[in-house]
Amino acid sequence: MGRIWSIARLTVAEAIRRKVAILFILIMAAVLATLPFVMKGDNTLTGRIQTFLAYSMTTLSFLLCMLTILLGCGSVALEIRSRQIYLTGTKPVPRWQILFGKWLGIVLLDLVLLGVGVGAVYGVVKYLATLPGTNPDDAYVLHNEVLTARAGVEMLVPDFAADVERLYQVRREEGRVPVDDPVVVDQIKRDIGLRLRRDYLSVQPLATQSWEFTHLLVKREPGQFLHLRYKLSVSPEPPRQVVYYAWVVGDRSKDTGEVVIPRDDKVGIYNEMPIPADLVADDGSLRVTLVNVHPEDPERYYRAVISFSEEDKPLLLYRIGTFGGNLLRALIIIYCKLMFLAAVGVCASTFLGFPVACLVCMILFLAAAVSGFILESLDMIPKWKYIDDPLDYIGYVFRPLGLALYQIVPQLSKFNPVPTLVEGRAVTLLWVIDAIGKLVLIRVAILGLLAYVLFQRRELADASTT
Amino acid sequence: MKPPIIQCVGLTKTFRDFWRRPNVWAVRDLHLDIYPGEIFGLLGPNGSGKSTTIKVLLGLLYPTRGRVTIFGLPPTDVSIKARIGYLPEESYLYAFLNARETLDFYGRLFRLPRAERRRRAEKLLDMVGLSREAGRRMGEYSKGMARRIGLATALINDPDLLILDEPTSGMDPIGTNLIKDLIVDLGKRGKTILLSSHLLADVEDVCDRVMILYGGMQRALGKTHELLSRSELTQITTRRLDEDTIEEIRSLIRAKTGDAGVDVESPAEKLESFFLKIVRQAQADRVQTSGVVQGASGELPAFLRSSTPDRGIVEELVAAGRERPAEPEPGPEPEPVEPQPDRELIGGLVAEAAKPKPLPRQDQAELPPALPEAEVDRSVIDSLLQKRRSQDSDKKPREDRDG
Ligand SMILES: Nc1ncnc2c1ncn2[C@@H]1O[C@H](COP(=O)(O)OP(=O)(O)OP(=O)(O)O)[C@@H](O)[C@H]1O
Ligand SMILES: [Mg+2]
Repeated sequence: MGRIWSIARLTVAEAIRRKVAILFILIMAAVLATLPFVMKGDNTLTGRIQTFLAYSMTTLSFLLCMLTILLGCGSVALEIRSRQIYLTGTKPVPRWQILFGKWLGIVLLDLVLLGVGVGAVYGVVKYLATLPGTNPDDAYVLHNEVLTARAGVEMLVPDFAADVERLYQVRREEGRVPVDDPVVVDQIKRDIGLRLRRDYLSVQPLATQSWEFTHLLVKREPGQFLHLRYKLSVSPEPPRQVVYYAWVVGDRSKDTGEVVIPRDDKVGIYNEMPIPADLVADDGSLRVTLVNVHPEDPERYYRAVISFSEEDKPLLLYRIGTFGGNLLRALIIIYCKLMFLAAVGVCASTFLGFPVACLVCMILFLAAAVSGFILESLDMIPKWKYIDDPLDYIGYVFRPLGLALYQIVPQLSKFNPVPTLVEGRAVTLLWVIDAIGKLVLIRVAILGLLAYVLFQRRELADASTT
Repeated sequence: MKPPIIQCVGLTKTFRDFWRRPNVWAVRDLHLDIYPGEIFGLLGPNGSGKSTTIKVLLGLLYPTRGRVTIFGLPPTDVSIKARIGYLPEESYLYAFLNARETLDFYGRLFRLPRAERRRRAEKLLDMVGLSREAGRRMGEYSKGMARRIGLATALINDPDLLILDEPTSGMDPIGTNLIKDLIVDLGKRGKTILLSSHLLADVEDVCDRVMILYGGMQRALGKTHELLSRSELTQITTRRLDEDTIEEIRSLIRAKTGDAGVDVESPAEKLESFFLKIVRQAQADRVQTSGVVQGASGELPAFLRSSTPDRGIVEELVAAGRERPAEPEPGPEPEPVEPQPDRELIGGLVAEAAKPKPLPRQDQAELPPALPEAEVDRSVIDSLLQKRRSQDSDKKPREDRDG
């Protein structure tokens, strides 16, 4: 351990004395000092803090990722190029210890920088939170919807499998199914299911619709609130984008109280509605009913269908932890990412020169960071059986390649805790464990092994290829 | 005899080009045994494979063919590294560490306890004369200073086997002497030393055995004094003579022996001439090499020799349009301005080897009187002389042992 530790310390000293780390600290300090005053968000205190949190955490994480890739790619590649490895490599230090020491040094430096950075973000947020809000709601919203850690439970939507089958049979008997081709049958059934679920999530004018949330692990004490978070779409679009209607929350059949909450919500943005926790039933379920009528003036209601999209179903949020704890868990996830990137960099530097290793790592990092987007577009490439445009064959080749790539490259976009943090939602322990498992335990281990094999075969005095 | 510490059997090392085709045969079928307590010199022109051999011995390169063992183990074995000290051909130290930190870092890699590291570092810094500068970053050091720290790092683990790749390159005469003394001292303490060098006079002084490489192949191997004793020749050593006397002696010998060759040179050039003979022989044998091949006489290229520049070169170098005075007729190649007396002896190597050669002893003896007695800081000269003296006394037992 002594030798690994010496090499790790040397790596840290190098990053500091070569002023790489100093530059990083300066940039970060400048960002943290200016952001709160430049970014005003929607001018509420909540908006300001949310924007600050989003930008500072994103910048911090991005800069650290870049720094880690640079240091990782430099680690042994630069020592081979400038030949310091002639000495280290002829001392009684096994090569894996050199690699591990380098990785450890980078990761230690990351820990310090990330810790200090996140600590500073926390300090600034806490300071901003003491400023007076712009309206009476501001402070409530800030503390209950941002500076908190809330669990989210999705609204339950059945899959209507039995209904789909029934309706399909009806259609067939009516002779409305042209051919028995399985592809066509599949498509028809899919369409029926889609329509059923859409109907389930829509409320006609003057009608009501009830939904349920289950498995709510919330303390049902008076004074505790849950928040229903939803985005409405209304068709046709109402004047000034505002729709008037009411929620009825509670389930008489389960002996909870019932509350009517009149609403005037903006269309197309997220709304959050507080719900008293004692409306949750003993079995941990909560029933909400949307009444599509103007609550105060039923005569003047606007005739429109109110609906939710299936991809963006209403969520029930309730507090399960503190902002501090949330930030800490976010930090751990970001740190897992950095440990992974450090391993990628060190591994690349065992067999590539510094510039090439950097390039490869940056490309992999970008591919991993936009994995969500890429996977989505890969998904849009038509399946083999539906191809009619010859150009689609190219896509058909790329699809499996892309999918295979993401078997190896982790979907780093899945490990970005910043939006969740900004929305005041819980960065769950499960998520943290997932990051540790997938990024560190599995991938760092695999990369370590790969780096070991490559480095063992590497002729340290042969810098001709780099 | 004890088993060899370093053993190479049929060592071959090739380097590959971009397409992975072997294009350089750096070392070819080399057999090498170095025994405990030996001081072994590796000689050869630039690019003859000395450094490559050393790197293979240290596990920095892997042999293409052949078997290498050090202390009976393959060079990749980590356990043997604790007993080896290595000075690479240039200083490859961390520019951002200072000298003390450098020594400490390598001391840590040898798992030396802190107190011991400190003690050794101070002693070594003292030995290489850089205690006072040890707080400065290595990046600020001059070449020779950095090399001295490199030497100190090579010794931090008190190695049993010391591998020095051109230890004197970049060193001033005092440093060169320091290294010679050190090698002799360590040799007396039973350490094994492998060194490569171009300073043939020094090699001749310290090495028990030498090997001369050319094109990666062994051209000569043996005990230094045996290689150099040539029974068919007679060497006369006297005080330095002036040109006239030498000419007189020449003609006298010529008169006595017929037209036999007469060589007059200073005794320090013994190994040098042997070396040149071997290398020239290799060239005559058309041995393939990826290293330097001396031109027939080491002549200056024509464009450097003539007093008026060659027209073609001028046209390339000087911007077109610039007015020049009328060109001389492009006649036959002009003769060298000054014919060089022993051109045959001057390969590219001689220039290299002759440069830092220590002054002949006589000059040194004369040096102090040339300067006013007092006022002058004589410490430098004194240390030089003292080192030289102690080295002289060291040499005797060594020769006895060899004989
Ligand atoms: N990494 C490498 N890639 C390709 N060729 C190499 C490499 N290292 C050495 N060589 C070649 O191997 C040959 C021997 O080189 P080496 O450095 O061993 O010579 P040397 O005897 O140490 O020379 P010098 O006296 O100049 O130090 C040279 O032709 C050199 O070009
Ligand atoms: Mg060399």
